Amino acid sequence: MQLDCLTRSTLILCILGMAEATAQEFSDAGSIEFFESRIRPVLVEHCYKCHSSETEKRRGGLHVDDRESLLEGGDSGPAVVPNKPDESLLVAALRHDELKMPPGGKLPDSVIADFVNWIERGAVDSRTKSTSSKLKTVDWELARQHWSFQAVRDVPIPDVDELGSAWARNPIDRFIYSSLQSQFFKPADVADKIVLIRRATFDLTGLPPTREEVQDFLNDDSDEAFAQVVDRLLQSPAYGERWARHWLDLARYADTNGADENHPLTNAFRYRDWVVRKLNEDLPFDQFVVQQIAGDLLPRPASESEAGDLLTATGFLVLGPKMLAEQDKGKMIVDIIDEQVDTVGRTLLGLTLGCARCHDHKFDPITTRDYYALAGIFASTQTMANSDHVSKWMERPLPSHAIDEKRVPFLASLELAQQELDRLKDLRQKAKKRKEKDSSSEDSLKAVNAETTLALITPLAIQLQEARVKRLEDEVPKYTSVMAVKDQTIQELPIHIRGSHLSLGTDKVPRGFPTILTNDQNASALPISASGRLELARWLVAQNNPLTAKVIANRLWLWHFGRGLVDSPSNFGLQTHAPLHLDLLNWLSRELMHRRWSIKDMHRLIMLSATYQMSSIASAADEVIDPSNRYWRRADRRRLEVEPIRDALLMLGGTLDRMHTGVAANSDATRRTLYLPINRSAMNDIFLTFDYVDASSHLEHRPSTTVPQQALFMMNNPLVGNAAQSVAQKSLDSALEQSYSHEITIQQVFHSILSRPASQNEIARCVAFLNTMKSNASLPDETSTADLPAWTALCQALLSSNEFVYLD
Amino acid sequence: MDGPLSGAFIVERIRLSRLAAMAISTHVYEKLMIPRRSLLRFCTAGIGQLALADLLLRSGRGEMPELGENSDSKSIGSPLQAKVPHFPARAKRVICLFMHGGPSQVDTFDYKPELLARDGEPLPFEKPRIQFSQTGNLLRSPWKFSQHGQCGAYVSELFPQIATCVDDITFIKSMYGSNEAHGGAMLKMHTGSDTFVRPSLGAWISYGLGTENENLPSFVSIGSTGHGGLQNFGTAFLPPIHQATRIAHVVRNRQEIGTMMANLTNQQLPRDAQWKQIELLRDLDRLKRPQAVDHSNDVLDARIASFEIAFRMQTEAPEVLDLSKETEATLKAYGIDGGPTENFGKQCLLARRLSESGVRFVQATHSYWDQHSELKEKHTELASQVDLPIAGLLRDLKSRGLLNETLVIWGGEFGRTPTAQGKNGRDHNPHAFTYWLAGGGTKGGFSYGKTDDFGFYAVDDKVHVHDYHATLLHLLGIDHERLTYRFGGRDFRLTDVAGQVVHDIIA
Repeated sequence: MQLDCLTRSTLILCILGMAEATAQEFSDAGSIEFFESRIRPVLVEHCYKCHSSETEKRRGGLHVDDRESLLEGGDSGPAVVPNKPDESLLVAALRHDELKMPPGGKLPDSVIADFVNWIERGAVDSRTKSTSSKLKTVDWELARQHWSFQAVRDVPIPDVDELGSAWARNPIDRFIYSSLQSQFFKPADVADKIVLIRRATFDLTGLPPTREEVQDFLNDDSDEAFAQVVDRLLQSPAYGERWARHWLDLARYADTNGADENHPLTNAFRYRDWVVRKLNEDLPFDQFVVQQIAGDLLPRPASESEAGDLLTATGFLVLGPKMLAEQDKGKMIVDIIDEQVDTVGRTLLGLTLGCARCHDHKFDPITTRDYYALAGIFASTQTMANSDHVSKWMERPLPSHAIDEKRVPFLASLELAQQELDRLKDLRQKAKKRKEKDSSSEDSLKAVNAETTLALITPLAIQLQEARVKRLEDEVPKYTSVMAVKDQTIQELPIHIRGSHLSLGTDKVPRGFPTILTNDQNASALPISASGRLELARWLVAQNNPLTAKVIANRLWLWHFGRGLVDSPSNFGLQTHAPLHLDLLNWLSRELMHRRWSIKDMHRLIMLSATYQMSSIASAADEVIDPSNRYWRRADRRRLEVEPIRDALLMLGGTLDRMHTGVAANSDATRRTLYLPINRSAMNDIFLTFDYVDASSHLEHRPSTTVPQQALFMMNNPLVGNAAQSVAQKSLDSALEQSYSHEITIQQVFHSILSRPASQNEIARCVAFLNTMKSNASLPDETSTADLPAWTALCQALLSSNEFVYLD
Repeated sequence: MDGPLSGAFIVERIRLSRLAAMAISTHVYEKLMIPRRSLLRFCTAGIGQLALADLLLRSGRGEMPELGENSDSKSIGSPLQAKVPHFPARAKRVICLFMHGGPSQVDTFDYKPELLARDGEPLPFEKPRIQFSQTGNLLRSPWKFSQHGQCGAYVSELFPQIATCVDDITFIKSMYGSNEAHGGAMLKMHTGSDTFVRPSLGAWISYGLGTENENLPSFVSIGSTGHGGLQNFGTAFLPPIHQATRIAHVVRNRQEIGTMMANLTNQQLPRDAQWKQIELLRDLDRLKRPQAVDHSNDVLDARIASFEIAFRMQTEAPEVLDLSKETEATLKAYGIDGGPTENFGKQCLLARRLSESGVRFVQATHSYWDQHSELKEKHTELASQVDLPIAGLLRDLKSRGLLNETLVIWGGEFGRTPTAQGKNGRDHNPHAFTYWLAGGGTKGGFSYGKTDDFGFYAVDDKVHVHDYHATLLHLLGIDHERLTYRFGGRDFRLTDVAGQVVHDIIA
């Protein structure tokens, strides 16, 4: 669109030909009559469709309804400069020199000549501005009143009645209870212990609880029983594996580039492993952010691995898909910067900053100037290693003293070999030159010398030496590389008109942060010696940043409950209404800061609330009034994402490989799903089937659809069949060993798959199923092996059940 | 209709589709006893529940539903429900024959006598600011062009079979894009953007029109995905249900159909046992939630229902995928004879089978038309692989009376330069290329737009990728400016803020 418009504007003029201005035959071109008869009808007929307040269209920011609008122009600048047709964009557009208007085809030369004349005579225009109105300019004062732009504030914890005090376990519950009370709702009962341990275990680790874990919890009658479960789960390495995945969705993590050239991002996994590690270590969230935006700019820690981690963290900025084969390298770079601005904006600020690349944000108080102020920070950051035909992203070596030392002897011999190569090349070069010169001067002796040199140092000899150098290069021990950025020459960017790098505004925008979020008086200029990334990172998590803490507090709530307090987790802009539980959101944000941004502390806070522990069983009457549970009367049922579904199947199948790092060899591996390679251009079928369909951009929330393809997966995929067979086999083995009845064996199966005992009705139905299976398949009965298919089919039905894939 | 439904029984019944649908639906209705109210209220996901609800409602009204029949109950909102277009559609469905790599317009359909006359001379005007590679002087086409049909369209010797169909074809000779690299151009052609991650054309169409057959996906991609990969067939922010179902390879053998689509067959469990398993699943679910009242209950009901639909899909889909049902004559017409046309012939034939069964958008992709060198040899080879299958498809659609409601599209991600790369090659050229359309309300025997004397730039009646998309949607009855999806605070369109419908090519 507009970007194309400009790239194609170079379409050569020799084909189209320039419109020749006809002789100035209209002596009255400066009159109103001329305008009314020759200009206005053309504007109405050919331009109003896209550039008039009448049709409510304002393409390119331009209206042509009145003189002021024409003089002021649109995004590309003034449309008409009175008396100067050659400087008037309108004329250039009509001539199809630039912009090519109207788009349907060039107007006749005579019409264009009329416009030239009209402008030469002062562009007399009888129309007044009353009929047209401008796009709303930002009302800054009003915008500042928007709920999300308010500073995070201390909120009083609401008083609640006696019932409420009895129910509440911590302040979260008092916020929830007081809003329930306002609607005369009652909170649901506490969930039963089996539901609770399943909910907590999947929530924190993405895996089902083992039978022993369930039993231990059931046996523990103390008040601390659930708190201990939560603590145990937070200590598990599986915690980081589960919660990293939430963050990786925001960070558009993948193992290939996608876009045009789907090159493998062979070191992306190091960033992923960093996220897992840091979450397990409970790195405070503010530092978690600072390190990902500017870890490379922090003071270098003494420890090598810590220093390396700071580089690895910045992989966050490099992970995005890139048009590596884009031949307009200027465009490639601004597109990469745009992707970074967009990802940082949506992930941390909950703002769609990317919208302001081509025009002021249509809804939010973000100007193009704000956009280019931020873009300047990333323009001063190096993300690409080169701008080759197919370009390469930046990777940086991890510091390693051990490898430094190992390299020394290799480097010495490499240098010698290189010197020898240079010497040989040099001798041959000189001999060649001498031969040319001497053969013309017919100095035979010198020519013979040169011949000898050339005969000795053959191209083959040089090739051999080159191969030697290459081999030595390959032998030099390599550093481990990570995707990372570094600062480069500071570049402040001009506004790119319509987002195009070929159409630049006149002055450069100083680097900085969005105006609406900064207090003008306190805004200090960014350092001239650095990109400003570190300042950006620190500003993002500063106590007075109104957005970041709220955005992450809302995400934590979303990830625990399946639904955020704010419905649009990556958009807190003017189009979003203040959430029903704004006070709670504020309180949680404040609490996050008070708790030194400890995410694990927040997990404890949230999970130990009565709100988290409610049952999903609803009161019928309340359900009619509040069907979508906006008041948090009960827990929401929610479907597990693809990762816990697959991991649980592998775990039940007894094949789950718990290795904690690296990338799985392929998608058939039995590693946890987190470690499967994510190929942006060819996502695994299981991902596509279960709603993880796009790893190319920031994903604020996994969709949860119900489609027959998912049922086909449960019915026919070997992963499900294997899990079913494994559970069936184990249950039959112990049944045989212990001489269990069918009934007990069915109980075993229910415990294994659903963590609970079966009811008498369920047992009866299952027995009936086993019997029909056996008789119909006409299998010989009574032996464990022969019964396996029937039991496997039973287990598969349980794995397919709502109970297995939904958290209650 | 109670009692055990054996696998063979079901398959047989489904052939007699009316009866079978009735059997399953009444069966389902009796066993499930889903309250109709909750079905009506349900409006979140999935084609399963739509189809099931549809069946239940109709059986309640005493109407007999038919497998593959279009849904007409508008009261139930499913994302794949067939929707009423903005205005009467000329085309009901699309088959896109995509030539990945970028076939050369000046060697196929855009005849340039000047190029022949001035072979070896420099291009007499400027080359584009950005080029993929450097090219030299003008290079004549190695192939002869001649006129064909009533309309006298020029077609090169590369396509003798397609040449016989030109009276049904509209050529757009003035297509142009912006991106000179494969990946960017593929994404531009498939999603409208080479800058941002956006939903694909097929996903937009599925989102806009829904499906004609709830037992099949609405959008299918056959063949390799190539540059840009999944994104060419993805949904970005549109609901995932609109993504393409991909069929990487097509088989002729009935026994191997299970390899074409994921999770379609089960080697372990016979079909009648599977049906019993679904009954067990359903009954256990009832026992678990006897009187649940909450909203999410509807979703759980729908999920159980989706197993019933899946069961029908795995019966119907293999029927559609089964090329062995076609006559020898048909196979021959598509060039399915074990020779060079075998592969694309199977893709084209499958495209027809899917399309006539109601799949809204089918793309068959053929690779790899990227002749930086060996133009003569490779274009000859590639054209010989697709010429007969494509002509076979057009003739077949026509003889079945399907061509008037099926839009067939041919083209690649860009064209090639009339100037030479090396001695026998051409570089990428997004500034001019040819697309052709057949059927689906297009004129036939018509040519639109012009390139310059050598075919380097589109010059007259230029058709940008956005214009092409706008026109395609228009033929399907969709106003491209009104097909929008709200995401991240704004409305998105396939054509972004551009796109002009090319009315001149519409019959």
